[in-house]
Amino acid sequence: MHTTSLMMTSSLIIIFFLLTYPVFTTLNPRPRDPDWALSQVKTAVKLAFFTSLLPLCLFLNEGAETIITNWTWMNTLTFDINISFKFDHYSIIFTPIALYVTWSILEFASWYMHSDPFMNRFFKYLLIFLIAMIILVTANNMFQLFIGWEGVGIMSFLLIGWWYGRADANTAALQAVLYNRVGDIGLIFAMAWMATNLNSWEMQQMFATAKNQDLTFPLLGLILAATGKSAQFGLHPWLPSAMEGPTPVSALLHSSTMVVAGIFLLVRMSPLLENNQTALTICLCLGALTTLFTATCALTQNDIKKIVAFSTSSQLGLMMVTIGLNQPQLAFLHICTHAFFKAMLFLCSGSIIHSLNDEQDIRKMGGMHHLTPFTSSCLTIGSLALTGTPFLAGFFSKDAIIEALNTSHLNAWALALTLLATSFTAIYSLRVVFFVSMGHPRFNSLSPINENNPAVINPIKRLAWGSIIAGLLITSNMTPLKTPIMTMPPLLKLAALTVTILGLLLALELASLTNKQFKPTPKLTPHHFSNMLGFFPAIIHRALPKLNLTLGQTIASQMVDLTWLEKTGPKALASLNMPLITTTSNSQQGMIKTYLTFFLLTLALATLLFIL
Amino acid sequence: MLKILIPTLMLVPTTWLVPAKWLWPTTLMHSLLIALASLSWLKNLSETGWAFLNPYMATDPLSTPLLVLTCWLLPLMILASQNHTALEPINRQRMYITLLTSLQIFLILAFSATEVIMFYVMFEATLIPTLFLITRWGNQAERLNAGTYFLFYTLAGSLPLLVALLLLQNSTGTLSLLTLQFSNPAQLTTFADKLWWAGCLLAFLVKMPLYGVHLWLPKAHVEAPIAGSMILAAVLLKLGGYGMMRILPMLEPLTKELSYPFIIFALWGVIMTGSICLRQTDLKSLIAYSSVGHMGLVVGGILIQTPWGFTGALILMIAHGLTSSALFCLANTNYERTHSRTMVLARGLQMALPLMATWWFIASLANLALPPLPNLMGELMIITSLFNWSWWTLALTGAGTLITAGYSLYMFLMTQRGPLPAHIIALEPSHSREHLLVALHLLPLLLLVLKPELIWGWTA
Repeated sequence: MHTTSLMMTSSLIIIFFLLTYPVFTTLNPRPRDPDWALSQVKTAVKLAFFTSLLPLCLFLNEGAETIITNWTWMNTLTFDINISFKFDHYSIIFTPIALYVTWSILEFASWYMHSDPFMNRFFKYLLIFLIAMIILVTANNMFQLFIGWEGVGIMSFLLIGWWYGRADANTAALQAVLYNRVGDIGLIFAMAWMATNLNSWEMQQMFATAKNQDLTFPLLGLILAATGKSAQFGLHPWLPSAMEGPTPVSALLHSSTMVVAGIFLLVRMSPLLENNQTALTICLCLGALTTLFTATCALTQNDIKKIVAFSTSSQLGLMMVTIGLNQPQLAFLHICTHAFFKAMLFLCSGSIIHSLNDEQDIRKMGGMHHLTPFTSSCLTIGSLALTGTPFLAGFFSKDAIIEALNTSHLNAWALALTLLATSFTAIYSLRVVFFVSMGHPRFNSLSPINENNPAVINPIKRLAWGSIIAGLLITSNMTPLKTPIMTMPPLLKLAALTVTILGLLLALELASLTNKQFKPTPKLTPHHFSNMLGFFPAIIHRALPKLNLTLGQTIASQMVDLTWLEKTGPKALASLNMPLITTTSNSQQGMIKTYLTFFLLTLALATLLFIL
Repeated sequence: MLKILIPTLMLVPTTWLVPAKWLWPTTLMHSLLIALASLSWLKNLSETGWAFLNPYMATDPLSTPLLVLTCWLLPLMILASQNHTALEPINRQRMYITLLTSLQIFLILAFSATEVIMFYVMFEATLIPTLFLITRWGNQAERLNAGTYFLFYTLAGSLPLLVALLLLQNSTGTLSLLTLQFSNPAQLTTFADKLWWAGCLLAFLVKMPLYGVHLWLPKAHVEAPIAGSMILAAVLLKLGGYGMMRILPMLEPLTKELSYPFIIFALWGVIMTGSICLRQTDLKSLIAYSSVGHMGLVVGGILIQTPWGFTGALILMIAHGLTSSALFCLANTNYERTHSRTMVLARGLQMALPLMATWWFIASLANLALPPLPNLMGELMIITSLFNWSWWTLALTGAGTLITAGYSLYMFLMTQRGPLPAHIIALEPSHSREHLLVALHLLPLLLLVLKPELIWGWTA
């Protein structure tokens, strides 16, 4: 065997081994040491990260990609399902990023969750969450992908509902699973279609046999799946609700796992998607709508985590737009860069929330730049990277996406929406920085402000480096699969920057208007629309469950089961027969004289009739 | 065959002769040994599919998983019943175990019968111990009503089957399962033939139960003692699915069109029973209604009559047998502590019984078909084969999976999460026996992930 492929496959298997080892050791009934979380889990992820650099280097140097198939899991007639891992350029690049980000988050979590009695369990959940995501990313067939897909869904249920004594946390966890289940219907539909028409769930076979088929319907299923998982418009409300979980969970959920899974699915399936204009247009419009709607919602939120959450949703919309542009690689690039600064933004907000005694409302913050200089600097870096400031991580992906959007001949409506959303990014990012780190403190005195802990500084620092250089690193090493358009009018080239700066100026102007008391109250109708999330949860979360629960009670249970099936079935049978039975038994009560008289009378009557 | 059947028969004298102190351990060990020995059936090298033949009994890939499940369930039932019968006089305890054993004997004979009539007789024979189990050993007065429903629904369904089978015997001259599928296909044209078709299936559809004739099931489940609920959910319902798979090849030309309303009814039932589950306040009733929903999928998979449909139905039957039985056991641990099946009265139990919460979580996940558990393999195969028949089924099956996830997690959140109410702080801690009981349900389920061919039936 060639050494490259040998090194490649063995190091990839080592990654899985390293990650699953701590999970399996927890089956031991002996209680774990209190520092198990750090010494085992964090070390495992760290080691796995360094191991994953080897295949990455091999890939960058030699372009080596590999598929590991080691076991035929099941086999019905002509349909077989294997355990098969696909390490193409997507998974080889994504795996180290996910591990790097998770490593930082785990280290941060050891500080954030240090007072939690079940910290070891928390780390175990995070680790399984990560493993599920890596299974999803490396899956080479639909079944395996589905395992990872549902795995992240269920782990998010556990993690969002971590503080299970709180009703809100449980509701949010249930919401996440149910919204994802709606998406799963799409995935199941696509899988059923593929099994029926392509007779395979293996990626290469599917791509090869799907050439001459009309793929619109299965692709719609996949888009529905991605809509659920990546919180696109219509199935988005679970994402902000998921903020009920601990902050490290939010950081992991929003950066490198779970929410990008939907986009990743479409990136994986791009060979099917690229020739279907209908599906692409739907992606484009759906993404544009999501990115604008969620950016609008982010504008007026006051909870720092909610703002960051909505910005994730908005960025996911942007990725969806990119899928719709038929630029899956750019979408993937945005997944990668987004992972760094989004994780960092969450860690920064976690640090601030803890420092201010679990205060999440940005109106009660302020002046943090003097009190937690490191965290608030990184918050600013993250926000700048998010808005696409030149040469930070976000710039390389976001600018490329908007350029690609500008130079394509697609939908102008989608273009307008996306550009507007881009300028909104600048507005809400500035709003976070303005309220949190600028101005004067508005919180209670005696807040336990202290960021001087290596478990806070180091992870944020690593992610900050990532947010600064990751974009450059990845773009300069990844070979574009599609020829990018290099020449365009300056206006188009600068469009992204222009709208961002315009947004920034507008936001500054608005802030100063508010501060100088020129306009103390906002326009209420649009404010409420944005603040109440477009009234979407208020309507959907009441109407649909109410409909179904009413159906369950009145129709399914009371009308059908208890009335039609029971009253007209067994009970009717009983009540119909009852008069007959009572009459018969009432007349037979041992009154022998009466019976004999009746007998005599009848006989006499009969004889009389006979004679006559 | 006799290697299993005779030890099972001998379990009865064991029960009566063993000293009182050793009654439960001995019977448990004895039945576990039988269960262990029954695993040898899984190794089937026969080319025709039939193995372990004798003049009356045989196993094939379809019946083997169900037989093994039957043998596996008896020790679990014994394990589960130990606590609530502890206060009974010893002879009643012996009687109870004898009752459970007789059920296993009848079930083994039913699943391994090579004659349809013998299968029919055994199918009916299981009613008797089950009826005793419900009406004698249930707790509330409602149990008598439940017993009546159970008996009359099943009998009303299965008497036509007897007539239909006698007719079949008359026309083909044999009812042997080994040869029946090779007999000449009958010309089924008249209206009476269609009635005959319905007669052949009705008994099994009632037993499954199909939505519409399911009323007996929630009542029986709710009123039966734990062992009754377990065996009912795990094996007795599967008699219906097994019988349908056996009888369908003989009904060939008619089934294609005539089964449409039944498939639709079954799938509609998935949604309706799921919706009922969302509103349930009674824990056992919720699990019972979820069984109806899952069995609806099984009916759909069987009536569609494709290899994937059959395989999916068998996988789902086995997986659901283990899952719902585990859920009933868990519900019973709550019941034995709080003496109530009402969910709002026993909330936040994760705080009090943390390891039980883990079992609840795994069982709920299995119920909502999390990949890669066999439940998902079964559901996915059924959904795919139904989808292949008509795309519109996905609207029902898809909504069904959504609702299933909804009520499974509702059940989990309701019983395990949230604050612990003050009136149940002084709960008895969980016993090792209970943990063993649930583990013995869930471990086979998890291990089946690794080798699902074992429960794949004919397509393995």
